[in-house]
Amino acid sequence: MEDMPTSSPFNVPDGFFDDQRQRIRQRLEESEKSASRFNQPARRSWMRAAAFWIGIIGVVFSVQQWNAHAACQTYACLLEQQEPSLNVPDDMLEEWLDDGALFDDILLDDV
Amino acid sequence: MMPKKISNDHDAYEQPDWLDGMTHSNPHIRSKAFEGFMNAWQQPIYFYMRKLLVNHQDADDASQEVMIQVLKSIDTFQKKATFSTWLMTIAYHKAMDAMRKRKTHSWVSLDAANHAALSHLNEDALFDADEAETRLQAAISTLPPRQRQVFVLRYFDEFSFRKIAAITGKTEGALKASFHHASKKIRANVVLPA
Repeated sequence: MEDMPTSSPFNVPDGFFDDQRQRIRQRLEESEKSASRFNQPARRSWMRAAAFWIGIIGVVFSVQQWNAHAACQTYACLLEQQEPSLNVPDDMLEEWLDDGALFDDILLDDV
Repeated sequence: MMPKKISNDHDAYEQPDWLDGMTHSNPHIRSKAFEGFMNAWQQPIYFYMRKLLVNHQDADDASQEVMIQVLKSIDTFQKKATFSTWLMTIAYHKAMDAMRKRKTHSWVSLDAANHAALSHLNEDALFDADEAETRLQAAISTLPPRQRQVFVLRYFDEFSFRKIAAITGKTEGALKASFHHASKKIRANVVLPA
């Protein structure tokens, strides 16, 4: 490899390195500005407070959910905790169960 | 224009006096440190990328990305490695990304790829070389990304295999094998017709 060239044949446009340096400086300044905007004391404390309250709400919600299910060991227990989808007053239910026509006339006829 | 070579001399860059100034709270000291960093590294990083990517615009973009990342993450540099090794590790990965993005199709033969590279170089207004240099650069640009990096770091920048291993995270043995394969391919392309 001794006879191979080691000098660089690459050229750059005039003023390229000054221009590139300027672009890098600008990009750094822009990112510093946006970082400092994010890090303003007022904004930082506001975000800290928001994060704190979101955390508290999350914890309370999780504890409620856990308590609702923790005591149940059976499906019957879970079923009782469900809101009934159809609200039927007790007296209506009793009246319906005592209805002889349903149990004696209709059901027994089929047996 | 004679480009600056990446220094392999440890004393030249291991303890740059501007390094501490880059994280200083005083903006004037930081600005001076920025100039010190750019004076030392802007051209070596650009020409490193140019040798790998050939195209000026690609080298401009990639070298800019390296310097931005170095300047943004300088406070994470823990001085466990030398500054030049840390910086070159960033440059190595950025160059790898750039080369993979432009990867040529594997079904293109080596001869066809070499021919395409030669014609690109001959059309490039910012490339000024004799036939031997043009053939050398064309041959380098057809190497696989890792071989290309190892070849450039070893052949042009004269880095030791130990230093290249620290930059790339590969073993010295693997790097020597890569360099051997790269040299063989390049020799085959650079031999001028009688």
